[in-house]
Amino acid sequence: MIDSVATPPANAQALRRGFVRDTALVARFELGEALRTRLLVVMMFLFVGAGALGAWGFAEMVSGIEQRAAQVTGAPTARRPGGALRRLRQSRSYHDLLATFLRDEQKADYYAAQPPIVVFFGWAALLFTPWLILFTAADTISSEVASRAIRYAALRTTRLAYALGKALGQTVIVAGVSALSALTFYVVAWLCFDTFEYGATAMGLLSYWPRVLLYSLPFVGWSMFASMATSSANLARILSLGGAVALAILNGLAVNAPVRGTGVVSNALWDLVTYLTPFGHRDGLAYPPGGAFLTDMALCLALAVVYFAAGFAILRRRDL
Amino acid sequence: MSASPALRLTDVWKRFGSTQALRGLALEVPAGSIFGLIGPNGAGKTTAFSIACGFLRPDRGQVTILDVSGFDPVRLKGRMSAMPQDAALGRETRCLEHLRFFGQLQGLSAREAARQGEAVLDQVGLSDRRDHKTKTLSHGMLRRLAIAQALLGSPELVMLDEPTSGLDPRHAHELRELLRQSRQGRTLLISSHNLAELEALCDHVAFIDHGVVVAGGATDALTQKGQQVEIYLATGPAPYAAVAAALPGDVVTWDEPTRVLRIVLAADAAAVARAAEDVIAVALRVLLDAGARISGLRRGTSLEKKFLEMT
Repeated sequence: MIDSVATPPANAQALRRGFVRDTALVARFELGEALRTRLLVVMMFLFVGAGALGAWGFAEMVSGIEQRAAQVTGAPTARRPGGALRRLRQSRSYHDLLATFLRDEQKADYYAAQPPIVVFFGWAALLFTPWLILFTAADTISSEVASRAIRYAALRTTRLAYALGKALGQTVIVAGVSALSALTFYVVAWLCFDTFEYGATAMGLLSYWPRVLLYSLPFVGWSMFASMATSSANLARILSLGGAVALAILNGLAVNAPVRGTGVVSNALWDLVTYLTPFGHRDGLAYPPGGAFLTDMALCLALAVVYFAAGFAILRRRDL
Repeated sequence: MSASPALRLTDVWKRFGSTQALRGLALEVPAGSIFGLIGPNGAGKTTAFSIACGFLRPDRGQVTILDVSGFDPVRLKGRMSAMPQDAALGRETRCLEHLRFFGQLQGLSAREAARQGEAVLDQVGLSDRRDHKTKTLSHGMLRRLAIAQALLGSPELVMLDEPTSGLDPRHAHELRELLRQSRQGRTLLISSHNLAELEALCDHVAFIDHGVVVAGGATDALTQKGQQVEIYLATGPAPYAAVAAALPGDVVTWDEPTRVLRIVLAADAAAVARAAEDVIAVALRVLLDAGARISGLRRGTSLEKKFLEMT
């Protein structure tokens, strides 16, 4: 144990200012590193590619359905898809289809009011973005511990400012590439569809982007946990992805009625599991009128903090 | 200059698995000194260094740096710097970008960090590489870049772990000169295997072996510069008996195989340095009068010899 010797109290405001400045400096350097190491390019490629591919794939699917429907009904086919889908959306049968599929009238109301491509974007973004983060963010600290590059920063700032800066940098990267992904999605959809709802689609994507980012935060936190818990980049990636798979399985079991059974205690425990895994908060964020939006938002933020704090508890005491 | 030591380690213990790296290490680095940390491989030098820098946590013991208890990056911001051994620098980042980041992180403004970054790159002979990515640098250049980051700002304590390892003789010499010039009241702690280098550079040293300091103090005192004189004679007369007769009270010995005349000054000699000079004058006069051919002279013993005795 290190004996403590009284040292004069430093100015709290100056300390806070210094802490914020250091965190911002580390975050900025992290962004620069991501650019220099081409991680950012890879992420942009993945997210933009996913956005473009998603929009194009959706257009192709709609085109296939419309052409088949045209063949059956003998109606003329349009050069570009989307016309029939728009007419379908304006009819009551689209709502009924959604209600049957979702088994929830109010949800059907909500989703029927949005262009189908926006719903598709939300579903795809919420499903895939976390996995991309888990793969790319896991080695941000562990690789620096392994190479001991962290020592240069650890001499000059607190480990907390360093780790928070790294997490902030990763969050900014995710915010940027997911926005770019949404923009690409919009442009490709615009090019592919015949009757494109410019305003409604833009507003829809704009409303999904912060929700996707919010849903990503616990995954950034989990990646940071993995990165701080190990001193090997590969191990961190395995922990990040493997741990997330385990959490996804746990969440899947927790929402599965046969597994839950009828016991009050066991159900309460399964409910707890859904709260503690980020996957349990996807539906609440995707469907804000459902009533769980604020709770899920708060829990996503809380989980991000909890995962980060658990990792930092290890990094704080680790030999570098 | 502060009266208290720049760095004090008291009863510091550290274990790695089954290896006890430090066993109650006690070390005081006087403020304003150039202090050499010497020891064989695995003696605990880098562990002690890393504990002082806050990279490693001691199992037990107390560390005080510039009157701050334990390593505290907030209270020590800008006051201490270090060149850690074997710590990599981001391969894709340019030299000046590294230094700008480190400078800002230790409290300098962006403009000042850039200005000082360029200055230290010039000092270590890397100004032509300022915009080169570190992956394009040779091992020696990376070493110099690591030294450059330790010279940023105006740290009161600079710790360098094996700074000249991997440097060619010219750059090693230039670095020694740079360190001598950049002293300006600051404390330099240097860990090295190069004992001749440390002897020439350091005014204080400590020998570490098996995790403890086995000897330490002022370099002149450790090497007995004021207490012993060695005179090397070429073939020819060796009038050591005449020298002994001219220096009553001092112990004069002659080693025939190496042809070294060793004079150990009387222990009660006051004003030791002056006495050593007087002894040399007397001995040389006697030797030259007797026709001896003097091939060399050395005051005290070498740090290397002392190190071999102690470890």
